Amino acid sequence: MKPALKRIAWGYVFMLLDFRINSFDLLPDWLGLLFIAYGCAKAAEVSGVKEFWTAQKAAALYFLYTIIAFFIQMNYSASPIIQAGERPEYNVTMLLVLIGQLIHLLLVYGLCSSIHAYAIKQEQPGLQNSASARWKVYLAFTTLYLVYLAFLPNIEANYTMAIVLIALAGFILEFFILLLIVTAVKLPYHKIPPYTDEPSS
Amino acid sequence: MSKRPLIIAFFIIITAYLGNGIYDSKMKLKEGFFLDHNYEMTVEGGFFFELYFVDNYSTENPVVRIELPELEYMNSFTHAQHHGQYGKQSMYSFTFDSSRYGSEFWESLIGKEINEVTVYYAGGKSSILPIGSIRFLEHDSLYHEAILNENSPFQFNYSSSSNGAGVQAVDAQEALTLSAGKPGQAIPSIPSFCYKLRVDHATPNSKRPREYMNTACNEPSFPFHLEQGDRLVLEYSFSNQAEEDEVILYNFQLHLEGTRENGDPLRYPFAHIRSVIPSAESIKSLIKQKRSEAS
Repeated sequence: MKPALKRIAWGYVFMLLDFRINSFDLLPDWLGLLFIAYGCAKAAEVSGVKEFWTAQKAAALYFLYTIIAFFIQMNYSASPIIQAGERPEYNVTMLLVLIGQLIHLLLVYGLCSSIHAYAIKQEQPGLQNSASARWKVYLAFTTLYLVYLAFLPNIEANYTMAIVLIALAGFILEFFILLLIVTAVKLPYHKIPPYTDEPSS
Repeated sequence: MSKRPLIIAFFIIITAYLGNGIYDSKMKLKEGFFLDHNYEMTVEGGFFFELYFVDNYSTENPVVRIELPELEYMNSFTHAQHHGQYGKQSMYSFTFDSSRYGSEFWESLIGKEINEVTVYYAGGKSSILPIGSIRFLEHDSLYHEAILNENSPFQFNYSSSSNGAGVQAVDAQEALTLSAGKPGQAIPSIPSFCYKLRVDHATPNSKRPREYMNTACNEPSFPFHLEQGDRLVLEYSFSNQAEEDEVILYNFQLHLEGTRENGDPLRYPFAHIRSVIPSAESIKSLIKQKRSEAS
């Protein structure tokens, strides 16, 4: 189980961090998403926690999105990132950002619910509560952020500082999700047989 | 973990985007428009003018350039400059500068009128739009020749202006005496035009007064004596007669007369060209009007 969870953690690190040399991304998101998808599939097989399959599908969908967004970026002057200081508009960039954020939210839900179910199975109430609490905070923050982003093109204000602060807060929250996965990696794994209705003899 | 909060969050987010997206589309113009330009100009020694275009703000498909099909020589000098932001609309300015053309080109413009331009966008789209009217008038040949004279007594130094006022400075290339300054051709005619002429001496130890102040609104006090390197500064103000949605190009001339260093008579048109654009409030109300006309 540990190798599968480690892959998920490494995948999340790839997705979270952005090291570039001459615009070449040393830790590409698509590679991180492949790690997560593969790790989730293995974790689902080994642990029998079906929520890992949800996370695996979300990672696969996110992978597909990064590829499509890359091609859109190459062929149009659109980008899946809103630059600080640039006035947001309702255009392809905004649509890409929205779709990307919704899929990302789905992925975080998949990972948190997987770790939550895994913690129940492993009888780890601390991890279970932590997964539940971090998901709630993450969901509330992302919802507020995306609603704020929806209003941005229609309000005339200096929002550069707000965008920078939101990006910083978002990064800290992502880091806490990563810590949750790392905590799950560190737990001693106890193989629990699948539950059946047949009476034991 | 329950999926319900996630579904509710998705619903809230998508509703926020749809609502704001609908509002955004209602606030946009169906098509950009030029301010109503009312330009009449002579082409003595060259000219320059600016056109102003209002369109939806866009980083993906901005306006890149315009062409004046009727002035084939000038097609490549019309790159867009971002001039101002008015809510969801931007105003671009396009400067046409004739300084790189020969006198044959200027002569060929006399009597011509331009009423439309072709606008090109970054995405490759283009459209032909009306601009109002630009008319090139007959010029005063005497002063035209004075300006084209390579052995000019003055060299341009700087100019700046705002709505209704401005300043322009030239440097004397030789010692000379100015004996008269008469307001020349002003297009359009302006009911109120006041000017001051000032000489800033290049020689700091000069015992002469540092400035001569003359105001056409009062009594002018010629003559002026200039040494080589002295700076002649024209400060002026005028009454703006443009309508709220109109851009007028004001052409002023102050005809200087006097004597050059070698004793030859001096004739020099101290000219200034400046367009006065509507206020930000006028442009915003114009955008509102265009939006309501289109819906």
